[in-house]
Amino acid sequence: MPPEPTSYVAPPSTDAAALIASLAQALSAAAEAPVSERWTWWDTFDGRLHNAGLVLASAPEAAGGHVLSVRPSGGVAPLATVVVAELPRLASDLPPGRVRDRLAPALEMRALLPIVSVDATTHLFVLRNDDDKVVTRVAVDELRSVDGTDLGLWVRLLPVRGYEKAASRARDVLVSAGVTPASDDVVEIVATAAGDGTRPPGAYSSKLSIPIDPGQSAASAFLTVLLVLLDAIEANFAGTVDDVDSEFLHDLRVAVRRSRSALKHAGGVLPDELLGCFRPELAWLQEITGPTRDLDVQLLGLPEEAAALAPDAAAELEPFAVLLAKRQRDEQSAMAETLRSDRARALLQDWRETIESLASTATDPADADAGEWGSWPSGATRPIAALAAKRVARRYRRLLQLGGEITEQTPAEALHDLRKQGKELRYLFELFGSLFPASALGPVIKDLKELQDNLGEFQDTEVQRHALRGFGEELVAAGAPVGTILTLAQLVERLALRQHAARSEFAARFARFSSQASRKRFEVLLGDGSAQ
Amino acid sequence: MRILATYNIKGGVGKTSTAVNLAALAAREGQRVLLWDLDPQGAATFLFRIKAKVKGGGKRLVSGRTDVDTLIKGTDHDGLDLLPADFSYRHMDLFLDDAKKPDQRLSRVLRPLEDDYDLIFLDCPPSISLVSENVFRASDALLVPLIPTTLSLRTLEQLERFLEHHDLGHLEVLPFFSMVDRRKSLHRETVATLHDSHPEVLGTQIPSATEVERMGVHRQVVHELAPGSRIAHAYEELWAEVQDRLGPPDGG
Repeated sequence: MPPEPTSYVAPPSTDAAALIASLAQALSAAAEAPVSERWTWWDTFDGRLHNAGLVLASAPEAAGGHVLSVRPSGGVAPLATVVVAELPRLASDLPPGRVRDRLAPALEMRALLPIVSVDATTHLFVLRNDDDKVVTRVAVDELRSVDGTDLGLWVRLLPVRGYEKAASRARDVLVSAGVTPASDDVVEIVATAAGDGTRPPGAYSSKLSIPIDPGQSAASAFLTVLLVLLDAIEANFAGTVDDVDSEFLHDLRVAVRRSRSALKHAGGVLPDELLGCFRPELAWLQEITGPTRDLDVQLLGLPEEAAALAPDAAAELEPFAVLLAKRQRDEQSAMAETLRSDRARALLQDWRETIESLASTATDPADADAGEWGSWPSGATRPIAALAAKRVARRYRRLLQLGGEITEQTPAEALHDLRKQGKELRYLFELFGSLFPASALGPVIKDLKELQDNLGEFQDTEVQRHALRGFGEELVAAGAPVGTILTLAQLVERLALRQHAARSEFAARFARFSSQASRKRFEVLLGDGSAQ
Repeated sequence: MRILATYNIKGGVGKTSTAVNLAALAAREGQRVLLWDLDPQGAATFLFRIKAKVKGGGKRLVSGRTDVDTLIKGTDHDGLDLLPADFSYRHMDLFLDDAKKPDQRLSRVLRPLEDDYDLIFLDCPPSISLVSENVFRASDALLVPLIPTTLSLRTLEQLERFLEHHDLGHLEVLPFFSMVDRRKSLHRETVATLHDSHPEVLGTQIPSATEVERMGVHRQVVHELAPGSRIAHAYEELWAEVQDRLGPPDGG
């Protein structure tokens, strides 16, 4: 049975004073003196709290600081509250306790950003029984935007445990007074009503969802994909430059990498000159953002790496953590400066103009030319479904061939090349996944992921080992304590062991990937014999 | 979840007053608190204006046949709930004796509430009995109010001996002076000597105060009744010292 509603809204243009007067009469209680507060609701850029069914609000505390409260989406009773001196940016800024315990798993590394603020004037009815015991509370909140626009009335029923009958009676009164259970959480209602560019929580998702019509021309489909990816690059651009949290850069780089992969697969579909112009520019964007991301990864992973060593490892590694953090700040500010450059601005602007100007002619490329980029290549008119299937089949065959050539003696480079091939296949699925039946695509992606995880572990541990060695040399030169160097050496050794384990496991992973059962799954996906 | 009991073999030493005031302070800090009023007299229940009635009675509750969740009542304090007293609790010893593992019944009753509360206070009736043995087994710490008289020393030592002989070494015993009247020389002397011989006694002393009597009249905790008063401060200090002595709870 769903829980009884506790969150209600009054119909638009309800007169607050009239509603309060009628409730006072029906509840046989006078409202307490109204209290005015400014409430701010918070979430991450990608709505992680919203997705986890949580709502975080802050209000200034009279004695200084802020009250933070977490409640379930759609509910009114807080799950946990805490008073903080300063508003937190990251989960790690919160004091240990239930609010942090609730938020941290959802937030991970993402920063809290304000969604919307309102000025709330609350009229509280406290209902008591014959013993003068509080049995239910009803709060009527007049909500206004910070610039004074009326955002309506929120009515909260606050039951007291063990006094359900009293809450039920109050619920009847509310319904008779014409208020109705809120269909959405109040934060969504308010964010929508506030307009003015306020995004309701969860409006942005880093998950790619590109609907493509199988019969769409290849040129049009590629442009659709590229536009979605450019939107993602732009959505994450300001957060990357301002270093709001590490995930903006991550999502920006993912979108750039996918764009580059799309351009790679767009040979013979989009004009050569266009590819020749934008591929190097996007590669540049990828390159200038790389060092900061590498440092982010090391910083984010360090606590876990240290915890896996020994209880005192984190303390021993402190000088290393300080060096990493400083290097990250330096790289971040250098990257931000480059991203603010004319070159970066021009790239994004030209790229958007190009995609948007071609999109109109790409729906039927046979009848039109590609404007300043000359004429459409012959592949532009091909239906995307056939083309995507062919590209997938080709990549898949190449992956099988390269992987089959790897023995225990093969140098590491061959495994790196194999990983790149696998990535290209993975990107094809990410960009054009909607063209394949989901039931067939899921198992194939699972097979590929298992192989890629192994190859990724092999390469990442190598890259990290080299990076740690470089940091080790710097720390020695700077006279870091012996304990730090020894603990760092332990980290390097662990990475070496992990890399060795990944290499040892490769043969078995690849055997599974190239097994008859796995090949059959690819065949099912492609619907013909092209996987063989 | 941490379980604290206010306990003394003797009655009238300030157990209920300690339980309700500390529970209200903990809730005010944002902890989720449950107070179980185990005393059939139901003073804590009365204070929170809740009916001293447990549906099905104490026997069904300790035998596990009543879902404890359905018996809990919210107090007027945010974050503080009460498991009310019931007159049938006067036979609690008999109910416990009838049940399987009679010395662990109260623990079992509280187990389903583990995720719902950060802190449970058990307000115990005086005496040393199967009820108190259950309380000792269920609790992490005992808050023992002592009126500063020679007899107090005897009851404290009696209690400590009992715990030692009953394999209850896990239990932290936190005695503190209660209802201290500085005008009485006996009180002053006892406080001075007992601190020397029993360093486990907490530093905070709860003064004898009329506000405590008025709590029952107005059915309010001291923070509502007399905020900023000497006794309100004393309970704040006591709560801080108790938390300090116990350290952070396991698992945050």
